[in-house]
Amino acid sequence: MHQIDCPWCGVRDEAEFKYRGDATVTRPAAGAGADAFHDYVHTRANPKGWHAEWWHHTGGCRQLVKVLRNTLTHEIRQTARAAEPLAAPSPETTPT
Amino acid sequence: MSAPEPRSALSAVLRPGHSGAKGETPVALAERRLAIVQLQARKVQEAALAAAIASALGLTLPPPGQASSASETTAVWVQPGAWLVTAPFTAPGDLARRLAGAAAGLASVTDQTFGKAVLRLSGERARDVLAKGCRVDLHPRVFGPGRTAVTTIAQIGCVLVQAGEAPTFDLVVPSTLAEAFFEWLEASAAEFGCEIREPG
Repeated sequence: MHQIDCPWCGVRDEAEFKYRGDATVTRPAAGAGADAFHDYVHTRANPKGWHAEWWHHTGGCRQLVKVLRNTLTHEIRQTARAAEPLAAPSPETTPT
Repeated sequence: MSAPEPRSALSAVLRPGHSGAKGETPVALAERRLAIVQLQARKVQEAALAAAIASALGLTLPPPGQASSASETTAVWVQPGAWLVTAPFTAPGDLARRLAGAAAGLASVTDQTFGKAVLRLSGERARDVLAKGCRVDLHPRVFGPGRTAVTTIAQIGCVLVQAGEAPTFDLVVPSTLAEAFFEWLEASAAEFGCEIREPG
């Protein structure tokens, strides 16, 4: 069971959150074409290790939270508000 | 034609009396009949809204995880830019009109008086009653009077406010789920005993 440090509410149980996917993808420009949008919607790296993710605090403040989670160990190292970046990844936080 | 008489979501199940064990440290449970209004600040108007509410009601809009009170009016932070304001119930719409007047153009004002129900749980074992369904740490070391949490208790979305040292907790739940929530509280309190009091 994860404990996620919501930037608004503090440390809360995973049960209050919904996983909302990869936080590293950015929406292409409107004219970028079908291939770019296909990648944006469907193509995922599925990394083993550190991964930036969206978690939605549905049972609390209802905000989207950015979470740096290790997909191998489930360790959560960092959280940030939706509009704020996660701190620049150090070598050991780079997805492997 | 007059408006229908306001009716509590809990009137069908909440009967004053004792339930559960005859323990030495029973908890007390009562419905609080309050006017409840949600304030949601418009974009970039949060500071202006806080100033308007402070000047009209003498009420400070608190930061996350906290409540603040002025006389009998209380504001609880519920999400960024949004607060739940409660006051003793007078007539339907009274509090919403007061707040809408004070916050005109600065916030969306939604009357939740009949959309939400408030239960007050107090007594030495109140934390133990909640612990069976609440994942927030309510230990006095980290939580105390004036602290609040928007969380899930017994799988029901709840705004929890610690109102007193006893400890006393106010639990704000959707009125459609109030009956289920009350039944869970009563079952959870059964091992200590539970004094169900008249609505206040």
